[in-house]
Amino acid sequence: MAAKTGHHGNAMPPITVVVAERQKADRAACLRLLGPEEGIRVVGEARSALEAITSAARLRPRILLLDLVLARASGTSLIPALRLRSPQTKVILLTEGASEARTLEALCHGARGYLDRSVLARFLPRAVRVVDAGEAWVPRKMVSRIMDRLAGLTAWGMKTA
Amino acid sequence: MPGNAGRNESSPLVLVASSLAGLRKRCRQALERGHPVHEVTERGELERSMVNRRPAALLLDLALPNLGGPGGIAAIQKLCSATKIITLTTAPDEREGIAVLKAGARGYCDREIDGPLLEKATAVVLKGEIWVGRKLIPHLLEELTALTQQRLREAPGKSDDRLERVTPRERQIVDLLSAGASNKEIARRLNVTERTVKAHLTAIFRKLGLAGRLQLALFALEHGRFTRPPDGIGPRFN
Repeated sequence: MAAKTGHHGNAMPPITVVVAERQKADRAACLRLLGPEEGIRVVGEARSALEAITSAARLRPRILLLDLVLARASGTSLIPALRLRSPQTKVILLTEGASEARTLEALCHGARGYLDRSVLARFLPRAVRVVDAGEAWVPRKMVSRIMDRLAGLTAWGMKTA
Repeated sequence: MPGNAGRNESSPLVLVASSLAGLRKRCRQALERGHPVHEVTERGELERSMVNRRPAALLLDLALPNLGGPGGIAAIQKLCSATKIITLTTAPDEREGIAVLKAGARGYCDREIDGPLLEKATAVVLKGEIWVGRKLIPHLLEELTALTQQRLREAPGKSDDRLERVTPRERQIVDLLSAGASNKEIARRLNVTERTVKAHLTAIFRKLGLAGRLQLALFALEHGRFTRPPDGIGPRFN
């Protein structure tokens, strides 16, 4: 079945993806892995945090693959800004041996999952589909960290309310 | 302890609370290889066992009479804060799942869960992790994001009078820039030279104390009212 692009009524619209990675080689790796995937289309690339925002705003992709280093480049506000500009875009972070704390921080600001580059080849297409379908892509041990943080925030909220 | 051959005496106690004999039996069968299991059938007995036996884990049927929903879970938890509570539900549902986790439960599973999976869930929770269905995780993330953003908004020192310092013309430039326009595009849109745009940008960076285009774009997005100048100052343009 050939990938169809929209005007054939029976074809699902493809999952549109923007790849925001600093390194050319990393962008190329994502393109290579997603290129042959049926129903997934990379519609744009970004090399910087600013480009990530502007291309998400312009292209409104369903998925944004975002280098964790770019996400952190400007403190904590990049992912919220992305969500504001393109609310339907779901962000998957691409990490490289990142600490749980840093990844959790990015998840707090609205990412829907993360993937270490060491397992990109195995999981990237699946992660894109799963997150697009509304699920999260995080390991179980991170769920406990999320709950702990949630508990902390909730307690904090009650104290000030 | 007599009658518990093959199990280490120090294995952690699991309490099972349900009024349904069938469910208690399934839980016992799933867990008794690795744990001493104690069963209770109603709330009063549950409360006493929490205090007296201090179980490592509690498998709690949410349909237990008089439990009183998530509020009840919190009350049970208070009786022994070290006990890890795994809730068993008749009808798995995202909202209920979030509510019980918020009340302090460490696990949320379908009452029909099979034995090996229940054993695994108990082991995972005893290790300090959380046991929930995959479908619940994005909802936890949404909750986390919402609370984080709310907390940031409520943080003091956020009101920003720097916004009042830029001119209407400068605001236009900020709006175009944060929409992704290049200097060239901004110049064309406003019918000025690129050099003028650069001069404006330099002034904006200085007034707002920002280091560059990215910081400016983020600043503009964060302060949504930036795109609408205060009444009485300059024309409206959007």
